[in-house]
Amino acid sequence: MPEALRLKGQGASPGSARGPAHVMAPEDGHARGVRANGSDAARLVAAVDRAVEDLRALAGRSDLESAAILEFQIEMLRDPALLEPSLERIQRGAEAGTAWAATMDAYVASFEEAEDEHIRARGADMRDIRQQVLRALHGERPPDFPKGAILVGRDIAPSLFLSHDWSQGGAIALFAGSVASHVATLARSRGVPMVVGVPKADIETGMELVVDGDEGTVEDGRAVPPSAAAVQGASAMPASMGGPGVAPDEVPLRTADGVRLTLQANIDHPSELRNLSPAGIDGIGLFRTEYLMGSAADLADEERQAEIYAGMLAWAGGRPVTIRLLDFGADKPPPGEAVDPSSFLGLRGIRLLLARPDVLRTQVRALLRAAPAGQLRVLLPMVTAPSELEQTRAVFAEEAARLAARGVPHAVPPLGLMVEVPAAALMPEAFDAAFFSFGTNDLAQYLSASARDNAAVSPLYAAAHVAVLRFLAMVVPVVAATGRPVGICGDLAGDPGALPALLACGLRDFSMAPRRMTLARAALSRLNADGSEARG
Amino acid sequence: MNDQRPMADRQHDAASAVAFATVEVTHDIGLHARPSVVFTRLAKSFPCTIGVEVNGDGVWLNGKSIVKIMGARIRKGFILSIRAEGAAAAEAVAALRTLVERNFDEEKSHARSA
Repeated sequence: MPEALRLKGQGASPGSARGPAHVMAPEDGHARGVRANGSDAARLVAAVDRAVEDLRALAGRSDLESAAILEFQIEMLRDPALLEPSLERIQRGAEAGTAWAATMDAYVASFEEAEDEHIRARGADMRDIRQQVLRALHGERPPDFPKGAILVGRDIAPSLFLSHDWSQGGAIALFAGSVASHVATLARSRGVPMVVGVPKADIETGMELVVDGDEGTVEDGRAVPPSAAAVQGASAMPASMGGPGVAPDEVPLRTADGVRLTLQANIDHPSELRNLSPAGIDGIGLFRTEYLMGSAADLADEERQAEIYAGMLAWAGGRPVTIRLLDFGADKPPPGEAVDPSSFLGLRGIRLLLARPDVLRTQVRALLRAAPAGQLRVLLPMVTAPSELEQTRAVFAEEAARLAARGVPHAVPPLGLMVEVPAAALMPEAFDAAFFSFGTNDLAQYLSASARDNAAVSPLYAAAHVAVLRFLAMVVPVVAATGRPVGICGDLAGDPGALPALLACGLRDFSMAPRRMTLARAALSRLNADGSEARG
Repeated sequence: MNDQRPMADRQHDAASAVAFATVEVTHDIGLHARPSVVFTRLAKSFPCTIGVEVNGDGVWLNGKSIVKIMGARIRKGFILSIRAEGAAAAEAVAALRTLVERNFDEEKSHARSA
């Protein structure tokens, strides 16, 4: 046995994982050039249509970020600028697959020779599109590999990444690849460790490998003691995605000195729940409903909303689920409307909803109808004055009365305040809220008078970090004095560096993106309740 | 697509419904995947023909073709000329120019508020 394999590449997605290698056959994907029945032109058109249909189906099962990448591929496939040159080649006598491959090869080459890494990275998307149509033409199934395996190859197609089941772990090691590729983006958001630019080496399928995306290394699993890999495993599954990082037995979470904390998930889209185990968390601390609304028609679709909300409550199995009312405005305009930066200080959040009662009432009815399915809590964004809470409460009461009159089953959920406007944070006792949850991104924006989306003042926004922590230290005790539960669901909650200060403020309930949970859990359990480091 | 008239005449010619504008790409990565999708979708929503010329190179690309727009490998600092001809030409040019100036609304998906 020669010296143990240790390859150094470039980390593209952090975390480490151990598993058997699965070496992808080099992607020749050559066109067969074999004549089949039917006109070549008609076969190619049909194959492109089928590839688009398959991508649409995959996009329908994917989260927003993944769907956006697939949408890009769909737009490319539907552009006549790819089909027309292929059809011309067919007219001159080429077979369908050969014609398509020739068109795509010329196009892919123009990307792969680019100097700019972001442009070069798009070459992988183009090759993916090329292969999808060739497979459709030949009636072949898309490739896949065993769950939990370490994928080893030259590059990996975005559609393969998205159709693969990563719930059993696994990782990616590529001889080519790019940190700017769509797959790298996806791997980071799903917590799949990934290393690119690995020197070509003899790796066989089945060989045990350890991939470390922080160090950018790929090693022979036999050379890395399992215990060391297990220690690395603390960051191995930052992803959330049901990995061992959030094992059920880790609930309940306590500080080193034994104080009970809760860790909840921030969710942008219900598809994120598929790979998250409810048993591993204390519920959903923030569900941002605005990302559900792709069009004005979605806003008006009470049935769809009610189904989605009830589905989340059922998923949580009795754990609390906090659903935030639509937080449109500023950088998140209602569907079909333009971004209006001035509305950072204008109509947004609850202000906008109260100005558009039809949208608010539809969502309220959907929430009332879903509420019996579990432990629902409703969070109001951007509240400034008690009257806004009371007007919203009145809408809930009116819609509940109408549902009761129609004999529709429903329940009225407790209403809580998203604390992000300083004026509301300083006056918590003025609000008859069932609970409070700090939203630190907007709080920082309003404390620093620096719009989040304005690059010219972004250093000021960032510099306000310390002021935000001091502000929390002052107001969290005031909010806690109301006797109502108080938590935090802004980005700060998932920042391990800020956790000691947040504990010191008295915060005990944290909600964050699922991929942040493993690190936060580890950090919190090493700290005392006053935020000090526990002595080892 | 090639219009030989002086620039001043081309600025806004309502009679023949031709509109023209130039805009600098300020997006850090340039017209990568998502911006190209947004740009060409917006272009396709107008009935007029839309051409895009990159850095005055004299080649007019179909502004409704993502394959052509991606293929031009447009990066930060590049100057785009946008030219529309036909119904709603002025609206199309104004909308596309504003989209480039707004950095393709990319911040929307990155700076999610909590």
